[in-house]
Formats: sequence, structure tokens, C-alpha cells
Amino acid sequence: MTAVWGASAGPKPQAGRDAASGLFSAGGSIHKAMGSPNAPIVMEVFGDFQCPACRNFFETTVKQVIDDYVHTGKVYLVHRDFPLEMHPYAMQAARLANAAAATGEFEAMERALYDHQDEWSARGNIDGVISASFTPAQFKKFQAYQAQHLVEINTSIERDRMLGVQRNVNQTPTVFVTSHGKTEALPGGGVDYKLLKQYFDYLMRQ
Amino acid sequence: MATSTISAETSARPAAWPRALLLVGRVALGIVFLVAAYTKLHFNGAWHFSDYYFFFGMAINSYNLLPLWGVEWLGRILPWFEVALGVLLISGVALRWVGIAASLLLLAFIGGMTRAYYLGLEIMCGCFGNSEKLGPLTLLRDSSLLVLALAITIGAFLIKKRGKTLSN
Repeated sequence: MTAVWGASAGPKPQAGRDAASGLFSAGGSIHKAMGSPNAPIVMEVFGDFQCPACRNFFETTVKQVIDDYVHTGKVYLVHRDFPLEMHPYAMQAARLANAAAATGEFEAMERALYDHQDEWSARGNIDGVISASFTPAQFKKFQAYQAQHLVEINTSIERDRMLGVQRNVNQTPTVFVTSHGKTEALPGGGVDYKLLKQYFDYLMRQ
Repeated sequence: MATSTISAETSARPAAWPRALLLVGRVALGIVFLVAAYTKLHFNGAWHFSDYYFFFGMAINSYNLLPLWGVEWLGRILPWFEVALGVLLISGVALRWVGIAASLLLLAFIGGMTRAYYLGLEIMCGCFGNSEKLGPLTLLRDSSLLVLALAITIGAFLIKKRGKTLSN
């Protein structure tokens, strides 16, 4: 199955299951999801690109979830922006990620932001560090999109953040899992892959 | 002489307030354990009898203390152990031994929490559900509960000892 991150043409409400159920839509947020919307399990991650715990969760758990459950059509993975005020460059990183999502490159951008978090989070030289992970043409596209749609991007991030506030998110990463019509909040701060795998396998057996 | 007999009986009878205090203490601690168990079995607006151990196991695992098999085992049994402790404390059955068990359990909790706090782990306490961050307040609360459990244990031993002395 081909995993598709982001929308192909600009910000739009999340399609299919999201729009129909209203469960996963943040009401016009830029689409940052991966996998099949018809997957039996939906995993939403409220994250902050500058948060070390989010990077750890992404590197040790999310990457394996993508390989084992998203690519196999079992999990629909949704990213939600929840930039924390304590991280001065989190908003800037989220804007770049949203621009990448709107141009269909969210997966690569998320990997680049987390893989190189140490390099950009100290001084905030995000463009300088992250541009090395893309071709000059690709990165120019993100920058151009960001410049032209800054208001929409900021609105999208704020909608994600407000959704988190409504759901009592008070730390990152915070994960919600929806299956069989029920949404469950997992303990905040990230979850070990082996335990998450057991839980997903249990849900698949139900 | 009638007066001296009454006086001797009064001084030999143990005062009622230690028993009353012990009763209040053990019922209060019993309720705390039952509430702790309830929050592990009922959360996100529903009972989770069939899958509570996944969620509680995730909370235990965030302490980075136990291997996966230990996390799974503890995640399954701890809520029910707390139910048993709560019921036994409230009923007062085998109070000395239940007091020791409650004190040891709370001591283990505080040990794990102190270690996590010292290491700077930003995790949920997991004590009363999964919505409470580990911090000084959670440590202070559990330490207070440990003091209560120790007081109950010591009180139960003292009352038992006094009872034996009087019967002899």
C-alpha cells in the first residue's frame, strides 16, 4: 500500500472517514495523515517537533508502527500539532511541516525534523539544517507555500492545538487510539512499541 | 470496697480512642486503595475489565524499571491487589498483615516514583488513573499514605499486644 502523507493541493478538510465521522477532523486543519482512512484503527499523535520525548517516541515507536501497521493498512496515523510554549522553535517547525504536508511531503519532513532535532533545536536554524534532506527545488516549494499561505498554516496549527486542549492534552506526545467506534487516550509521554503492538493486536482480534 | 473495685476496672480497660482512630485510619486508607483500583479499571468514561492492563502496563512501563513480562504481570494483578487491600482494610481482617502489605506496596510505589523524579522522567504517575503527572505533590501524597499505613500497622500490633496482656 502506498502511504500518502498530506494533501496534494493545499489545506483542506480531512476526507472520507474523518469528514463523515467528525472524530479525527480538526475542522479544516492541513491534512497530516498516513495510511488508509478505512483502517480499523486510527492513531492520533499530538506532538511538538522540538520536544525530545516526541522525537524519542517517533524514533522508537512511530517508525515501527508505520512499517508494521500503517503500511499494512491496519492503522491510520494522524499527526496533530501541539507546539508547546516552552519550545521557542516548535511553531516554526510546525509551519514548515504543514507546508510540506500541503505539498505532499509530510512523511519526509517529519522524519527530517525529528532525525535532526538536536541540530536545529539549539539555535533554531531549521531551514539550514532541514534543507539538506530535500532537493533545492523541493525546499523552495515548501518555503513558497509557507510564504503564500501563512495565515492558513497558522490557523491549521491553532485548530490542532485547540482540539488537543478540548481533549485535555497537557503534554507531548499524547496518543489517542480509535477503534470499534471508541476513542481511548493512552498514558501521556509516549508508549513503548512492544506494548502498543500488543494493544493493536488485541484490537484487531476484537 | 465497691469504690476501689470500680476504679481498678476503669484503669485496666483500654481507652476507646486508639481503636476509634485505627478504625478511621484503616477505613480511609481502604477507600483510597479502592479508588486507586477503580481509576485503573474505569477510565475514558467506561469500564475496562478486558483491556485495563494495556493502559496500566503502559503507565508502569514509562518508569523504565521492569522488563516487559514484569510490566504485563504487574499491570494485570495490581488493580485487583489494591481491591483486596481496600476490602481487607475496611473489614479489619488480618489488619496487622494487611497493614504490612499496604506499607510495603506504598514504599515500593514511592521508591519507583522518587527514582523517576530524580531521573527527570516526565511521566504520568499512574497512581490514580493516567491523567496525573508525576511530581512533588504526588510524592507528598503517597508519602502521607505510607505514614498512615505505618501508623495503622503499628496501631494494630499495639492493640493486639495490649489485648494479650489484659487477657493474661
